[in-house]
Amino acid sequence: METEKLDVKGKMCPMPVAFTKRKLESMTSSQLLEVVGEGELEFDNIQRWVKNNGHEIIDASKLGAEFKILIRKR
Amino acid sequence: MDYRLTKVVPVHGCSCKLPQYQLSRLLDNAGLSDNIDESVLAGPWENSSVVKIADDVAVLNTLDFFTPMVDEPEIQGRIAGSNVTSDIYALGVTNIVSVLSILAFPENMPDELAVGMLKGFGDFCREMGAPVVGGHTIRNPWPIIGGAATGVGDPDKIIYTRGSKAGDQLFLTKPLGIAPAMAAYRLRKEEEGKELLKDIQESLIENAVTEAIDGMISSNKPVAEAMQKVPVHAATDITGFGLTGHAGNMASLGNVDIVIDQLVVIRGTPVLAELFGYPLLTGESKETAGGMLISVAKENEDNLLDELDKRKVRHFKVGYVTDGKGIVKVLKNANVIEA
Repeated sequence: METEKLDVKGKMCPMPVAFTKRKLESMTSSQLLEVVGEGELEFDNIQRWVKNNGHEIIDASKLGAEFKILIRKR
Repeated sequence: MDYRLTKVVPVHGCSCKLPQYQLSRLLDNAGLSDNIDESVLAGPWENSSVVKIADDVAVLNTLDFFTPMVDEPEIQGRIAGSNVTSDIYALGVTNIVSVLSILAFPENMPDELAVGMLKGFGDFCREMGAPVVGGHTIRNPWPIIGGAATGVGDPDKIIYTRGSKAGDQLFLTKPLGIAPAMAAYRLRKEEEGKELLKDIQESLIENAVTEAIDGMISSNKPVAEAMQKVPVHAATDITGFGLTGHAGNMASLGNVDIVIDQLVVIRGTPVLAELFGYPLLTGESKETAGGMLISVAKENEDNLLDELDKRKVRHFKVGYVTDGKGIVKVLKNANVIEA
């Protein structure tokens, strides 16, 4: 199954979480989503929302100000 | 004017507050967790510090500042004034003898915005009888407004976050939902934001934003006045830690459990919170200049509500207190009221 991608760089809060949520809602169970963004706050916010809503964080990494989070939809 | 206060910061209002666990770690590591002297009646985990300086005189101090919630500078100043003074009112003290302002702004921010924020802050404090007598202003990448307030009260009449007793009823004086309402305020000024909001009725958004701003600039002083008339066991205002965070403090400091069985939220905010992924309906959403959470014995409940009614303060029953070990629970089937 193809990994979906979402770029939330430069988007004002709460768009990064809202767009991640909307994207996951459009996907099928077990499908992977890679979210790239920037900022410590959004890195934490997205991961918190994903965990609180029962999805799985496969990997989360930061390189400078940018981050990448790989999520498996439940 | 092109410069928008809310656009130049990544976090807004009390959302920029450090999470409790991080703050706790910092204070522990810095050796500042414990009160240093027996004259200190309340330290870091209260809304204000309380120091007894004579048998019948306690001095209260609080410091509170944050990034902008709104683009209108005078309203922003008023919100900051409301938030600062609320930390004294939360302890049932209404006599604020002085306020110092804190203002920070980047070099490219027009001076008129700085003047507007200071004016709103000063006007609000003056209307509360809390004169702004000085302050400090710096250059900073983020605009910041707030201040430090000093109150004076009778040490025997101060109401703390600690003190709840099993059987107490819990009342909240402003509905929750500032974060989703104000996120909608910001998003509807952006093309992408408008697209995100497109399925939500404009009138619902307008109502939520108006109620949220009106709520933030409504002082908690009348609540403190009402609490002076009725024996109240504990109180705290609800700000950046959200309802469950502040109620959790109340529970752990009082060594009781707190049950939230009703969530009262600004009309329109549940649908916005769902859209943005905010934890409003679990009571965890961050508030700014929120209402007071009051823990009162059942036999004093009617008297308290009468005193709040006399002062035209809204009030909502949100839960109760049981014996326990400092845990706050939001019931899964908690009633949700859009007020």
